[in-house]
Amino acid sequence: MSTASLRDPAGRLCIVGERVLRVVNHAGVADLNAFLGSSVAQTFLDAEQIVSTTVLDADQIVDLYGSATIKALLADPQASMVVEHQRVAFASFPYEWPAEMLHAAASLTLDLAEKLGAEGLGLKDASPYNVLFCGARPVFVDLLSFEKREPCDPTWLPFAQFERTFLLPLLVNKRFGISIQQLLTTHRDGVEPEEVLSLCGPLQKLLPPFLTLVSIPAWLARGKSSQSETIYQKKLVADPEKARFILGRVLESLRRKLAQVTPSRNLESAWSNYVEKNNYSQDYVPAKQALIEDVMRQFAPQRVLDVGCNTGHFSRIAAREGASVVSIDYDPVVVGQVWRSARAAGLDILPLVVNLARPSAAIGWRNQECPSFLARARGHFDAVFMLAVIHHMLVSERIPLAEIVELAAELTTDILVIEFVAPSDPMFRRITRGRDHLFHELTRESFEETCAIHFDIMRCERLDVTDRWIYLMKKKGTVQTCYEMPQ
Amino acid sequence: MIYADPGSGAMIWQLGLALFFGGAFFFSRAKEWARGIFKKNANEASSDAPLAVSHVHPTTHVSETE
Repeated sequence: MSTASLRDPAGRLCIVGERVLRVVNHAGVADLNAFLGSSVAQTFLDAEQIVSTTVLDADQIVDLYGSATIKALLADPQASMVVEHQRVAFASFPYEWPAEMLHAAASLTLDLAEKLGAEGLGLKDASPYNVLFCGARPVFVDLLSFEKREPCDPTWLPFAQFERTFLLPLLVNKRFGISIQQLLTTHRDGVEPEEVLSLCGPLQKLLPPFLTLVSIPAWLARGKSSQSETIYQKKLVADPEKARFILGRVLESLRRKLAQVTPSRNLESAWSNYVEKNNYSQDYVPAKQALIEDVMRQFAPQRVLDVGCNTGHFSRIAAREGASVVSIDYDPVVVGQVWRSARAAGLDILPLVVNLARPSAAIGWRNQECPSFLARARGHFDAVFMLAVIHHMLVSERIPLAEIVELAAELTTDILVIEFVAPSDPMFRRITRGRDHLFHELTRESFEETCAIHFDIMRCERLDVTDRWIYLMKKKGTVQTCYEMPQ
Repeated sequence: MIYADPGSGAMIWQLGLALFFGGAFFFSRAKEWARGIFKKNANEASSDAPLAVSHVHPTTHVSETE
């Protein structure tokens, strides 16, 4: 049973094989039906901004009794309804997103809150965990977040949560350069204004957007003791039209703040221009590109993992050939660039800020709410690209080669495209920082021997005049397809 | 997902905003009411105008033919 939904009294999520089922309790049925019957639901479902959902009938539910987990959930007297969601190919969590993706998730959440208001519905929470990404496209997945609103209520209860989980992390990331990963890995429910206030200078506290997003809420909270019991009580107005007007303006104010914390497009990092401005010859990238194109045409992998994707050059090639690509890199700036380009081109690329040498751990209650990156990735991909990346893992992270190759064999079910960088390579020498002696046993021959434990080498090419070679390998034990060597 | 929101400062700030926008609602209503009054007057004036022309025009026409 998934623990992703354990906090929700309205129902539980249950993954049975490849199926994603949600058992809805009596408490959640009326709100869910009201939402599914609304025109907003239809609009967002048509636009694929809400996860596709089917209500199961009695016969379909009986068929599920084969699963002990779902049988146990259905035995609960509170269980009232079962819906099935379309499975999102690869689940990701907010602490793996670049700022651009968190911003897109915030925008979708606000879109929904605004549109639902017109039909007397609303969102009862505003958490980035309600959103997943299908490729680069945000999709709202928590269908138990919708509720019927009190028509005369002018406030939005998740207002503060929206600020904590979306606006403040984006603000801190933009103004102080602290990564979304640092902020959200340890803060499930976002960042408090008081925490941000301690980072601000005296003048900064008085300037927008800090004044209204950080300083005033923090100052108001200090004097809350006399009001704390009453501030969350509903403050109803007499006129529903007035309530709608106020709510609309409150959401508009959040929209303006969201625009103020939009991630900058012009950020640069040490790696953001690597493909264009590397120290190698002009043929270095095209040679790798030719091999990737050959692999995509010959083997047509459906699920590709691009490790150390940089700005996503090879991810885009794979996606254009029809693959669903997960691209990972530890640099949030380049991952943000990958997301922008994939979103603009409509490519099926899910870019994540993940360092394969320190992948996202399982976190949350019992370490089960959010599975680790490796738990989600093992065996999920039929091709893995590791281009210009293993020397960083060998040298900077001190991961032994045998470990790297073994992990690659766990991640892919079939293909591995891997670039070998010899210790004589200028970049390799630069990152060893004088510890060259640690790698004197690393040669092409030792590399091939290590890889041969898990893979059959299908093709090897020297990349122009560099000390780098690119290998196409096939996992041992998989069906060998006839591979045509290019002329 | 269950709603859990400990951010009291932001909630008080929202209540302040709601109060402000409540005032704005009053003014927007007043503006619409005033606009409605002017529109009504303008409509009444414009609905009178063709009648005035029809009274004047025959006289002018007659004088031209004469």
